[in-house]
Amino acid sequence: MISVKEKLRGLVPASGLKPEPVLNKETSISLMVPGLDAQVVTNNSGSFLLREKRFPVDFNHGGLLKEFLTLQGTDFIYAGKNPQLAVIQPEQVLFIDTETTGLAGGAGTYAFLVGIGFFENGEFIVQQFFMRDYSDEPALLEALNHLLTGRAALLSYNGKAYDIPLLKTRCIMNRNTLYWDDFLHLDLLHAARRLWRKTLPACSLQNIEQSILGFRRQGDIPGAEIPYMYFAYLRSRDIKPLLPVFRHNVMDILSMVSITVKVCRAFSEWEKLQYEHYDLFAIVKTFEELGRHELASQACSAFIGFEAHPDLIQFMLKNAMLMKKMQRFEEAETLWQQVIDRAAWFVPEPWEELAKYYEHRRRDYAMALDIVERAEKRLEISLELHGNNDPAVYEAFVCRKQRLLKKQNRFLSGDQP
Amino acid sequence: MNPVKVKIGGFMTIDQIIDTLKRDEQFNTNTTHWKHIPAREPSYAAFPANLDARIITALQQRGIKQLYTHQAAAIESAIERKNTVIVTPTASGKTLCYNIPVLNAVLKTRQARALYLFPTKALAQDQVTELHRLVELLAGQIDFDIKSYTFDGDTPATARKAIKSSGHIVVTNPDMLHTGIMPHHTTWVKLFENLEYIVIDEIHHYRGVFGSHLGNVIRRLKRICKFYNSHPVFICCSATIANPLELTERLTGEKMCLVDNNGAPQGEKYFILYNPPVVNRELGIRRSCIKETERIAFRFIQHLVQTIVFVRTRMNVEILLTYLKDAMRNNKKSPSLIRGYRGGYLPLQRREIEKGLRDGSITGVVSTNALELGIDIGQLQVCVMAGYPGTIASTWQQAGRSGRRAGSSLAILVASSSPLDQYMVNHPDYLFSKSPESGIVDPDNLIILLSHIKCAAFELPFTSDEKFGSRFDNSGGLDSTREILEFLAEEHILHEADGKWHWMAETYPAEAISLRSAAEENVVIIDKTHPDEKVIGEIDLFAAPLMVHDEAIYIHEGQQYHVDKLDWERRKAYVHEVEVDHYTDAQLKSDLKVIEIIEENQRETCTIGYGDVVVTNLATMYKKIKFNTHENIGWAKINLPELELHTMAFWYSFPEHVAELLGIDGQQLGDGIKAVSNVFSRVVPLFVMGDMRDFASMPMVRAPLWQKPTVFVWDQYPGGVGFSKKLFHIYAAAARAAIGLISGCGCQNGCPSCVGPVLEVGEHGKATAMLLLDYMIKNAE
Repeated sequence: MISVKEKLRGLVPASGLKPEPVLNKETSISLMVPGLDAQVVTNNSGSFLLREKRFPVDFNHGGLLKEFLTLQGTDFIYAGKNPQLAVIQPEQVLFIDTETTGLAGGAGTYAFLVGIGFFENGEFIVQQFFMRDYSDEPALLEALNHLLTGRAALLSYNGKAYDIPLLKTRCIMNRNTLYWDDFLHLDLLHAARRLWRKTLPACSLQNIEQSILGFRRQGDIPGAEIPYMYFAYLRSRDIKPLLPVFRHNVMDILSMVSITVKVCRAFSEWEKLQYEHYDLFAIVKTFEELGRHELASQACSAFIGFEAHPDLIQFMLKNAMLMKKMQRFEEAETLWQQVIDRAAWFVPEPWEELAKYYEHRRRDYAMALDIVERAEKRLEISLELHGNNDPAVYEAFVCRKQRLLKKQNRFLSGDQP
Repeated sequence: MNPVKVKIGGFMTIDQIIDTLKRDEQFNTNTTHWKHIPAREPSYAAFPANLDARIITALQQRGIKQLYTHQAAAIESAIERKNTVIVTPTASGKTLCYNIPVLNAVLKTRQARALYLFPTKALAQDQVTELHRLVELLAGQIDFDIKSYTFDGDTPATARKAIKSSGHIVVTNPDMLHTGIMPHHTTWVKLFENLEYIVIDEIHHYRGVFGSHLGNVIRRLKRICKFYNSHPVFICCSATIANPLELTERLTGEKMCLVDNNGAPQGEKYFILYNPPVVNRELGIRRSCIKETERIAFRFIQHLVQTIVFVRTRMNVEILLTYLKDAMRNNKKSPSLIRGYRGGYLPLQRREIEKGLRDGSITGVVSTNALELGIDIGQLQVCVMAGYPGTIASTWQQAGRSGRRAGSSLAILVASSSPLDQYMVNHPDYLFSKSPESGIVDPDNLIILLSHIKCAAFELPFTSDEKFGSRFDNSGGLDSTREILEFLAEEHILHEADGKWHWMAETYPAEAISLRSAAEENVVIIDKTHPDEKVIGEIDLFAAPLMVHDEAIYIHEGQQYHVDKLDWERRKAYVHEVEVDHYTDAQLKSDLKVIEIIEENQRETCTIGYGDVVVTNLATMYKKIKFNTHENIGWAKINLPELELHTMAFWYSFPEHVAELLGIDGQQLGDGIKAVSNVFSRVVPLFVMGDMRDFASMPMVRAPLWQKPTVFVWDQYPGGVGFSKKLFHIYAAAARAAIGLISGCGCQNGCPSCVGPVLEVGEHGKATAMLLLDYMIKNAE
């Protein structure tokens, strides 16, 4: 009788992997590794490895760590584009970053290292929860649950899409009751994308470190290799080659602190920004979406001052719309007029808006008609010169004109409009 | 080009069609059987007592005053939490059989959930439309929404969250369950915690490889349910097959109750068996089935009678489509009235064709079995099948595409010269009486099993004492589970820690495992006609040496492509568009070695057995064959590596002195064995649902292990999927069918339709085969 294993060897193409012997089946591993400084922690669910690193708050990591402590609720609102973040106190924030056994996600991906950073008693502490083997996971999650319970807010880099769903999955798999949805969560990646999408080739943490914090990591490991490094460790039980992973994780967390400060400052000190490095329009939009129209408009006006800004017309239009929202119609009217005067190409929006404004608000049909007719002419010219008008836009002006003509006739003949 | 809008059936009624056919003498000479199936009256039963009154009200609003007998029985059984399988013909209202118990459960507990599995995405979409109609009728009577959604590859990411948390009924396909849902089960907690019913429609479709995969997908699903403490009930629907209970029990791994008291009415139907005329009596060559089908289908299509034509292969879709379009053009009719439909077409294109069939803007469609299942294409009038679809269940489903809902309809089966087809047209009883064919699966196929144990370990770690495939009550399951886990650990795919076996790889196992195709890797076909290369299709690894070898003519969407290069290492075939008057046909050389005998019955008169074997396949050469005349206009060698297949085979060995016993010489014996091997593999599909391509056979005058004349028949899938074992038990019946096939064949000394051509099996092949088969039957227990 051929054994199932032998049959499988015949059926399955060889993996190419040498059956690497498991060197040490013991769960105990040597912790006598310089630089590891970790200890075994035991709780009701078992045990795991805890590594702790402490940093003085005046440590400079592309900025002083303690600057984070000066941030306020409104800073977090803008950074997260979420009014609920107003209640966040910097001391309550937990920075979180995980290292995992795969990037695809799903029930079979584990977070073998969970790093948590927080400020406490004048220090910045990074605690790293490490699974010495898969069997450490329940204890690791229990400790994490303990640390997180009572905290208000999480701060991550891509945690909303990656780290937190993964930890949620791990908790469900281990029947751990930590309710992740209860936390306020500021995901820096989203803020970074808003601010730097247009100016940076990619919004990876490392890219932002280089361009915004102004330093480059030395001897860091590529993220894609991390799962394999962990698997190699599981077979060899030698934790030493994993040290760079622990350091990588600490580095990520420290950078999150400094980047948060940069992000928040971009919103609170927007007057000082250089438009080459930030997407100023995104800042205006953030203010607007949070209902801070006045602030958004101020920022617009200031940015319009950058004569060379490529999005100048955009800012003017946005400012006009903000004025309209704030019912400051005369100012809006002026801005629309300015766009018409300054735009080197045909932009339909100010024409439409002015026509609407004269028709509905001022009830001045003659002015409205004048705008519509001028718009038509401009469109015809534009067709002549560029040959590519949007027929729907033209159509809309024609319709508006006909309606206006009717209204005007009724008005002139004395009917109520 | 704008499709011409035509009123459905504006030109000829079924009665007129039947009339013209009856008066057509030439047609009648070739008709072997003309079956009139009279309309069937419905039989009704009362609503089951355990059914929520609100559902009864809703059904009555929809005009359903009572249920058909099978509906009532199925609903009652499912509500009693019995695993139920319903076996009824096409269009017998089987969807109510599962929709009602499911809605009943949701009315009882608003958290209740159900999971529906359909073999294709298109079917799933139709199903949700149907469900919405029923739910709307309930809406007035309840204070919450019953939500049903499809969840498949086309579901937008934005909709997924809502489906996961609030979908009462999630309608999907096995592939999506396998790659999209189960690996992410933690995001489906609400579904799995409250899962009351698992509905599997068209379950007879899950046979062979696909079924063996599904059996394992369900094993994984049950494991996940157990983790979330739910215990769902299975409701399955099947077409009429010989073993619906056995098949569903094998697939679900649970005890099932059978409901088959069909009470649905049926429209009148004409069913014609048509055998193309013999053109060469000596060689037993008949007129091409495709050409005959073209002629028959065209007479309907040109009169704008909506017609569906089924062909067996994707290639034939394209060939017949080309012929029919040409015929339309020659008759000054728009060729765009005819469309092709098959796997490999893009989803949007398919939806457009389905819609065209419903609204009548398409008159004719040439399809593979892709349209055989209940995709809503409206009511067509005529169905023409170019060749026996391979199973009785498929035949009825294809025939059912004409006149599904009631009214008269016509189905014509045009036989090819394939042995199975010849058997069918000459033995109408086989088709019209009780089905002898079984759906066979083997979820324990080691390769398939291994794949799914990987996926299962990814989904939930294994415990050391766990048996994969155990029932909800934890009984049963595979003893070899532990050994497979150890194997995977040795391969560094799993990792054991404290008695639990965890996934230890960076990759995502389900993604690499296809439920449908034999090989794990497909060959991608890349069109280089234009500077911007594009992928036009895929082909599975085992078929690639035959279809896309260097210099092959590959046909896709009616367009011919020349294969410039098959990059075997990278699994890529580079092609460019051509227009030539021929196609290519590749030849395969096989060899076989027995590795292990699993079961064997040694008698003085014969030895029968089955076991593990290795078959080596080598594509050797190809012929260029001219369209229409089918003449051979050249050949060349194929230089590709040998493919090795580890599988299961059945064998039958005659005694060494069988030639003396039967009074024949050695040459005759050799030819006879070859003939038996040919005919045997050809009749297997009469008993085992599967494609002819799923089986292969080989004669050996002196089999290496026994030194005896032996016939081998094997599964064309690594590890085998149970066919050989079945054959071990029913070989005598197969031998009887083989005799029936040979004696019913009009050829003189053998032809491709029975034992094989004379050139292959010799002058006496046919006669010797009869002697040998007779010997097999006489010496069977």
